[in-house]
Amino acid sequence: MTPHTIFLIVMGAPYESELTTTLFRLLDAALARGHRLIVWSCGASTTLTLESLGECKPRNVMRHEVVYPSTARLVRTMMARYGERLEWHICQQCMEERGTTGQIEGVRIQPPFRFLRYLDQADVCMSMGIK
Amino acid sequence: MTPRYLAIVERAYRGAVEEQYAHIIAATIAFCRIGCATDLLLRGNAVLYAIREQPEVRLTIGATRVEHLPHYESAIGALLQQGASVHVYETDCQRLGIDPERLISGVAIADLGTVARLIDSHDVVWHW
Repeated sequence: MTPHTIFLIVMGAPYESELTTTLFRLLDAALARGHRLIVWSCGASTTLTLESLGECKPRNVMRHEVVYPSTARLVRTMMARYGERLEWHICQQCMEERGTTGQIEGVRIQPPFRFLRYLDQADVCMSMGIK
Repeated sequence: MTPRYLAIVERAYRGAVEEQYAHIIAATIAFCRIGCATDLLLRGNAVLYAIREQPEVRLTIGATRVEHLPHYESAIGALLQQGASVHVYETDCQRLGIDPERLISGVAIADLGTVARLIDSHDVVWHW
């Protein structure tokens, strides 16, 4: 199979639908098959990679012993596992508009219209969610 | 007299990876445990939460196992154990082809009249 460059533009807000779950499943499956993935995170999706989320969600008061990973950790773990084959870009305009500055190390803050560059590079492009 | 609450849940399947344990049924259980007696009415696609034999889904993202995604069947079982009533709206069950025998034991079907009575008989109604 020939590896492809897949460009995913993610615009939906967390907690609104299963968009984030679908995104993570899609990413991990495509990366495991050897493809290169570029994520462009827009709108409230920029909250997925906030440093302030930490490694795990707040404690579950009914099950103190269980640790639940945060979305920031899940992105970080994918970047660690797949290296340069996963790029995670943050739209600077969206980030500043929503006050989601303070992103995890490894994501790249980009001016808004730079996504056109990645669009040109991609074999496949998919826009997920609504801003 | 202690007020009784009714939680109507209509919007289903929102953010499994983001919520994990912290979904709305778990919140309803927590309300019951702290003495805030809360019954549940499922409408819309949320009636699917009350189906028996739901798979327990786990994911691996990168190198991280996400072991505790929402499992609504066990959550509703735990809510019933708290003494809460759980209803599903009949019209939505029919729309989704859910026969009564597919529902978790203890879950009741509510027609429109029952929905009205449920709302009328509770002191506080939340709509999620």
